[in-house]
Amino acid sequence: MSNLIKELSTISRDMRVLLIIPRELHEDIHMGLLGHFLETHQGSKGAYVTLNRPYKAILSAMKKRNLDSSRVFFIDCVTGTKERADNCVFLRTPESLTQIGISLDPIFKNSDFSFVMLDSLDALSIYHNSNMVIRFARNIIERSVEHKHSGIMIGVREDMDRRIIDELEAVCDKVIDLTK
Amino acid sequence: MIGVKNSQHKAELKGTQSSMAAMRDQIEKSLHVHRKKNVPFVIPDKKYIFTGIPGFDQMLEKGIPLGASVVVAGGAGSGKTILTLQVLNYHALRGEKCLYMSFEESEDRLIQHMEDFGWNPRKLIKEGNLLIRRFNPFDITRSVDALLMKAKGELLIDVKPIIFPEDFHPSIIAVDSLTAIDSAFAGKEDSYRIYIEQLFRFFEEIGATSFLITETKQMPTIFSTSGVEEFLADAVVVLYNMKRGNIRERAIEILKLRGAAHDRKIVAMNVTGAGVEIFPEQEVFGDMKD
Repeated sequence: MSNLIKELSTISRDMRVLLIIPRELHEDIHMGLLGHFLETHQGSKGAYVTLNRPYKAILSAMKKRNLDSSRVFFIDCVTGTKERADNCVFLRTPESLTQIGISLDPIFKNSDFSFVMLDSLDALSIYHNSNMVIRFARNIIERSVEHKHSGIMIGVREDMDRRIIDELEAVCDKVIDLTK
Repeated sequence: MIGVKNSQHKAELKGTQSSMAAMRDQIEKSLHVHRKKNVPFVIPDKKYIFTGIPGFDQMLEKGIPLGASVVVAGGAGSGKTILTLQVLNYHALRGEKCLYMSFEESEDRLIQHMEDFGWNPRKLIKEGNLLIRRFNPFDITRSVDALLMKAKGELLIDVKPIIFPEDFHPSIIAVDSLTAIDSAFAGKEDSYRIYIEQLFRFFEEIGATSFLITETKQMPTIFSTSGVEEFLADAVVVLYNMKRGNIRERAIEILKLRGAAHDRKIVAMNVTGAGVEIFPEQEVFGDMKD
């Protein structure tokens, strides 16, 4: 965690970051990141695309750490479409990358929002081949550059194709590897 | 003071919650849920027209050149008819005369389609700005026989490829579809080509902007039945229905647009409760193979 805190202090407001994490300490890292973004993006909101943890679980983890969930809009690809919440849109499946992208469209275009977190690239890799994951991640990065959003993509090293890391390293402003 | 701060905080929180709910509603509507939305009123350069399709006009530098013929190609269920009806609805709402020529579906069914999206075609029809008319494709083959006779000098009267209702001079015309017309010419491919050439020339002469639907495969590589249509047309818009696992994703591309700059990307398209919406920044991740 001390590694993460040190690395987070080097992330500025308008940056695209690839965060490579180990499997353990998953929740602590995510909450540390969210806390950092909420702190550095005071007065604005962010979006959290979740592909491996349901909205409610993230909400309760945030509550436990006293993080303000009212400033985060969730795109939940895990829970299913029967749920409903003010600050969340529930997608049927992580299979449709286009639908995830369409969901982010109004967020990118809304100046009240300033950061987007994608959790996680390894979860995307379950449903899509590496080429598709790279294309999708690059599209999100390009759009966050265009709309001056911070973007952070999280991935567990052991569960991701090395090619995804190599390709995204080239387009991200910073790579934080917590596995080293 | 604490009480004041608390009530201020509560009010702020309430504001944030309602704006988040508004964001959720906006996304849900973009994805699939019914919605009613005002089409933005944009006054384009007089030499160009806009379609009024959210997102589509952003892909064009100035618009579609006035009087252009636009082939709208796509597979079954790709959204061709809805897209074209939406263009006509947009223009009829702005007082332009629009004609929808159907060679397949009945007038009632098309009106019902429009009403399903919250539009009011009956009002537009009553005001005289929209005309939906069903034509028999076999009547067309007869008119082609007359055209051929005229070409050989055996017929002296002037023959038009389409007879419009009297006193209705449309500036926007939709033809749904060229594929249905083609099927009436079975075994007479040359006659069909002659007819299509006449039809394009006729629309050009009357100065109408036309949207001509063609039925293709879900992932088309050929955009019309005979190939002559896409060659004669000023613009070709292709609608895709891509497969990804067990789901299909819609996408759109402006393949060709003579005399106007445009985006050259295949981007996401959705059909919502309010009609077609295009996402010019959103590339699609479905399979490009049929």
